[in-house]
Amino acid sequence: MMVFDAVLAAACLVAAAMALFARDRIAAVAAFLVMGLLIALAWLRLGAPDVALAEAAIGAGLTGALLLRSAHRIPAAPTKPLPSAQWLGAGVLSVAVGGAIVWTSMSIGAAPAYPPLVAVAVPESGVENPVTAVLLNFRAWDTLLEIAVLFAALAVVAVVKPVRPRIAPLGPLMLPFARVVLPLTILLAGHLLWQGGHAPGGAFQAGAVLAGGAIALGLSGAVRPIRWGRAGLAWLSILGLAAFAVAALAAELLTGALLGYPAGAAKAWIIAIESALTLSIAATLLLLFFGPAERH
Amino acid sequence: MSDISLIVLLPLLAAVLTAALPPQAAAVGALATALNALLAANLGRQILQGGPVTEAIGDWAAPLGIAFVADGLAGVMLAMTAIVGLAVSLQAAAGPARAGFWPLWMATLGALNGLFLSSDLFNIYVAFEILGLAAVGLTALAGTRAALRAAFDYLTAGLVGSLLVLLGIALSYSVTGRVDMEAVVLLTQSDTGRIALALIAAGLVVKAALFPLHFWMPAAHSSAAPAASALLSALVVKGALYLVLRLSLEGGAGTEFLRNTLAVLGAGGMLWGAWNALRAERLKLLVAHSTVAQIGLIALAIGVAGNPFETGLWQAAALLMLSHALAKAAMFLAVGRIAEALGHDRISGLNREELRPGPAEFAFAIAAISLVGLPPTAGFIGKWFLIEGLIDEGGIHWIALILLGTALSAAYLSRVVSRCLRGGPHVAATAQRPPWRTGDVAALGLATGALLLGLAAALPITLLETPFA
Repeated sequence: MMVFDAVLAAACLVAAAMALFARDRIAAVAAFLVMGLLIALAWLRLGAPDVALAEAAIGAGLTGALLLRSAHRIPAAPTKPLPSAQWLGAGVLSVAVGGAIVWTSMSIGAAPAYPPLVAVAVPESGVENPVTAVLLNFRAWDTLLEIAVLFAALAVVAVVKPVRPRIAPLGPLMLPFARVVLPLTILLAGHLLWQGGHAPGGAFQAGAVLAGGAIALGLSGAVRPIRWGRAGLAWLSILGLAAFAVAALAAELLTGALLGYPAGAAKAWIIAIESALTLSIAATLLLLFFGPAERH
Repeated sequence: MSDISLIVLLPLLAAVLTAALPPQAAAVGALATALNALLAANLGRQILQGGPVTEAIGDWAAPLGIAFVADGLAGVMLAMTAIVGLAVSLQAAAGPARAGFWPLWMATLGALNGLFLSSDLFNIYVAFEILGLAAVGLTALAGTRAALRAAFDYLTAGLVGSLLVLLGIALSYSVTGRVDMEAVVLLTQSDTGRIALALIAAGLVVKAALFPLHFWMPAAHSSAAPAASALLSALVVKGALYLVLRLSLEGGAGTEFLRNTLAVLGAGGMLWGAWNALRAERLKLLVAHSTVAQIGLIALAIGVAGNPFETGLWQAAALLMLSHALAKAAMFLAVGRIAEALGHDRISGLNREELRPGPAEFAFAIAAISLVGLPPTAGFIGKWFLIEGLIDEGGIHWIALILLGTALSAAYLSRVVSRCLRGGPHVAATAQRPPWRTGDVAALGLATGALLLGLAAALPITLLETPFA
């Protein structure tokens, strides 16, 4: 496996370099997509399947779709090379920061405080997957704020009012493809959501998969999800933050602790919150892709 | 429900409501800001009476869980945010409706409250992400080409800052094995830990727009809408400055290397910002460059404060943050009103024959007095505190720099004040005063607040003197 890891690390670097230096925007985005998938593989090798799933679905998949959507509107990279002083400055800075990181991460630090604490507390968390226990119970406040980050991102896009993507017919195979893929993504999203309780998975991955399916449907031109469902999507997109915040305060009313789920019912609370988050994340990503409002 | 839970969640719920119901957004937003002010006042009272208030989220003890700690410094920051927020909300609710303002402002408020109360580095990073994105949206709100460009530059600079902060937190996890505030003092004990701290601080320097990494800020703060500029300049940059101060406090003697750097950068920013403000041709740009100078002064105050376990000099920095927030928000709101009445904001065009000075000009002048630091304003108390402490410690060269910065700030602000308030023969006899608007109340209220805070400075100082948790 040593050889595999070395090849994987080198391939990540090559893909990153291609994304940086490709003159053509589409080629650069393609290289970025490949890099995302390779990094997902690297996370798997590092024993973090949850991160791998999220990286593949969000880092490579949806970010790639967003980048491709904008790529053709941005002119090709300028041919004029950077001034050599700038190259030198950037090079020195990168080497210095990179060196500091390598040195710090190579030197032996204190043992992480969390694994033993998590191992002790997981049985009380309501779920068996330690990652979900951290994200939705021990550090649920982080996750609530992350949902607020998504909310803020959508609010910014609503202010900037990007031009809608023009949906060109994608050829005769698109509709049959969407017919197969969409039901599969719904099944997969539900599976990931439920599986998050005891194995890698969860709301972010499920929401991203769901959004991917819906984007495929929208791009197929079969339905215009944006035309009929904008109001519904807008409500769904803010549902996550609303539900999570209300649940946090409701839990405090019941148990006296903010986000402290009632004993024995933690799993139900977590799954309920995650279900709202899945729908909300999918709607947010969909609106980020198709644009939340008409440009005037 | 505890005050802490409410003060962090109420703004987020209000953000959702204002996004869902645009026609009622102003009413919901103003109500939420008023409730936020009540909660902040009540929390401040609890801290004064019984010392710091803490809350473990979900009843999980740190470091496994995340704890909120409302100590004196957090209390002062919450109060600062609440007061500025009230005034800005008043101006925004009375002014022309801008779609998108309220959700962004409510998200900013929630992020700031969460940031000041959290005692977990990673959690603070997430709060910074909300703050940074919402601030980009606030910058873009004006909708002009210049505003969109400034917003994009802001986004880029903010992302670089975020990446540095996140990198620093990741490294500090690898060095200390934890990400709560307890990690900071452990970080100061090794070279690798100090590198992690330096990376976090570098990211915060970008986010706080501290010289020489302030390049993105004057354009962003000067091209945004008045209410947004006031929020960005008075509150958003304070988030990063607050965390710098908090790191300095947590690290004690071990963060002296950070303080030394901050003092030098701060002095540079104070002079460079003042120089650019002296040369600015537009009023909003002058005010934005003055923010660069004032952030420099605050960073200098954090930097020269010495080991916080031995001296209380760091309190001067907190007082300066508070007084700058009030005065600068008043100034941006007043400038918005002046530009609206004149139709432009060229400084050379502030001399006018047909218009007498109105409440906005008056508010600008009072805010200027507080920024310069004349008695009895809040700015005076902060500078007095700082200089008094420096005299005791023999930091004469720092005092000279602060006095030079003060003289420069008086010079650039009088460029505006002398033109705004000039009466006499060159004003036509038929000249009229601009009519009163609700927005004037906000600017004037904040400026008067900065003035009165100087007289009531005992309150924030008592809060700051409450012992830490």
